[in-house]
Amino acid sequence: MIKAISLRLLSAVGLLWGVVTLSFILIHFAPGDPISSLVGENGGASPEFVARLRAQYGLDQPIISQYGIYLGHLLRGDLGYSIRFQTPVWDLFRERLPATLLLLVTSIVVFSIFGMIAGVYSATRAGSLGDSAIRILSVLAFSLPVFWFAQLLIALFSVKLHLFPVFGMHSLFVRPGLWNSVRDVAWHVVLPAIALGAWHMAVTQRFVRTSLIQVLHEDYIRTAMAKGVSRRAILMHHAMRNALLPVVTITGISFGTMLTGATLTEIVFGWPGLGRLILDGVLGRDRPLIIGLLLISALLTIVVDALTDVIHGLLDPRIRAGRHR
Amino acid sequence: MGRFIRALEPAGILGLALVTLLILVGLFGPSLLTVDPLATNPAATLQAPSAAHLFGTDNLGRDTLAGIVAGARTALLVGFLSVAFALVLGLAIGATAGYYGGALDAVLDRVIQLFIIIPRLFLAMTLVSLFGTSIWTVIVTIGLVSWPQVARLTRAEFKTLRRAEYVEATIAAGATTLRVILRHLIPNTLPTLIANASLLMSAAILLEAGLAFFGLSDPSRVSWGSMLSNAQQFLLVSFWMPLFPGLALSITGLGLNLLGDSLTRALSPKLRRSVRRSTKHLKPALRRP
Repeated sequence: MIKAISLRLLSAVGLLWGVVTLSFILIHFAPGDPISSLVGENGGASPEFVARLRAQYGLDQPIISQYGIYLGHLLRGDLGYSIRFQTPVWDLFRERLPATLLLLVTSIVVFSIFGMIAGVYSATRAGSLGDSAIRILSVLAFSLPVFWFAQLLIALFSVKLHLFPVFGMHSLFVRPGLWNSVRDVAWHVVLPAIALGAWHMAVTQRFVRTSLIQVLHEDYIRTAMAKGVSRRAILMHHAMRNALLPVVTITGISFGTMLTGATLTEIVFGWPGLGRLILDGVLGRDRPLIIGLLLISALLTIVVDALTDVIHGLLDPRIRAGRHR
Repeated sequence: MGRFIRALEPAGILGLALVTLLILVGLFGPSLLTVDPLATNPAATLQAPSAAHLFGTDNLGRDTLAGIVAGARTALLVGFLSVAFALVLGLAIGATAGYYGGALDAVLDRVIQLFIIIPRLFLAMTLVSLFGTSIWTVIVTIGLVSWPQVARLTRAEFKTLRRAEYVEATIAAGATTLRVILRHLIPNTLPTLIANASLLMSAAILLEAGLAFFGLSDPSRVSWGSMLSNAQQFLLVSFWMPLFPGLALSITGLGLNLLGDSLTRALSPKLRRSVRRSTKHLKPALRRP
């Protein structure tokens, strides 16, 4: 057990080191540098000033020592200093990550459940009209670009029907009290969560349908049916348990896509998460911010991956038993 | 060909039709256009669809229909070339890892993992922002973030096939490594990869649109993604501006996904049979009376 965990940690550290190395390799081969885009915005700058700025950000050093310095700082938990925002990179992320996670987690939880329900429905009625309808909707949702779906939702539900806010995470005026502000945020999160979650729901539905159909085909289900166990009991006690494991797997696999989808959704809805930060940082070629983004998103993926393995272990007696062997 | 189409099922045929439409519009559409998709017209901005402008105009008076047609060529170009690049790269790396195994496999597997844990859009944004927004950079970038899926599939297939008896027999008979790979392993891996290529292409076109939506696209070319990005500020006044580029993008994605799914099913008869069989035996037991 301890050996498995330490191997896992070691591999995670190795991967994160790989991310930093890959970033520096890319930066080394990239033309131009971030200072020119910084001073370019403020009009002409003297060569002395540019040289001083370059020295200030350590850009006058050879790339290999920049790499060494970055790794040294990283070991102390320092992600460097954003050139564009003139703020430590970690502070920028810490400020905006909660809003992104709120949107992401809400969307994943709610639409995993909807996806499971739709998947079970279509698996137990495979080939029926309802199943076909769900499958068609599912392929459609799978093919929709998330940012376009978001725009359509705004145009229909906010602009035409005035049901939901057009923009942001908070209303300008909210009556005081925790309950009121929670309700206000919940009202703002509905449309972005739908825009983001439709794809996830489609993926979950497909996965659950396939795996449930496979499980329902197993011998032990046939035995249970032969013994006269009711339809509901077979589904609940025998089939679902095995069919739900893939939902955990698929959430882990689709996390990266959901994270990038969240940033796209945020841009459309003006949601105060990572989206705008990433957009400005990447367009401004803010290298410390870009490396930070790659590192933090890789770290999140690794953590979610580990979490899904833990949940798998808790749900699957085979893995639990294997551990004690 | 007839057998191929029959194996596709109706959904796959619809997919094939939509993909064919994209290819036709992308290849021949732009040369049939009478309007320049980039020509602005201050006298006709933000117009709703009419006889003169079938899909309306944008905030600068550019014709949306012309934009859709020109965008089809961009989507087709990016989709085809980036997926071809990803296939070649992924096949080479996955084949090496799967065939030789051992330490080389361990290292290559780590590299594949590294590319998989970084979200594709973020890595693509980084590459395009660092290396410029020309269409060729975008194509290479999308190829570079898409190859790990191909490599993983190839690696897994090669690992299984490598131990197959006929392969061992071929090696025992004295065939060279290159011959085993080219004559036996790759032909057996290709069907899986081709079915997957359709899904990869859908993802590639969507990724290009995502990049363009973030403003990271070739400014000299029309992209559906940049049309949508442009429409973002005018959502309150013009429902039409985002509608058509998004529809084009969705229909393209839908066609490629339907085709890819259908090809995958057609290529795995085992799965198809088991689904059919299971629905049959489920009917009396589990369907409501």
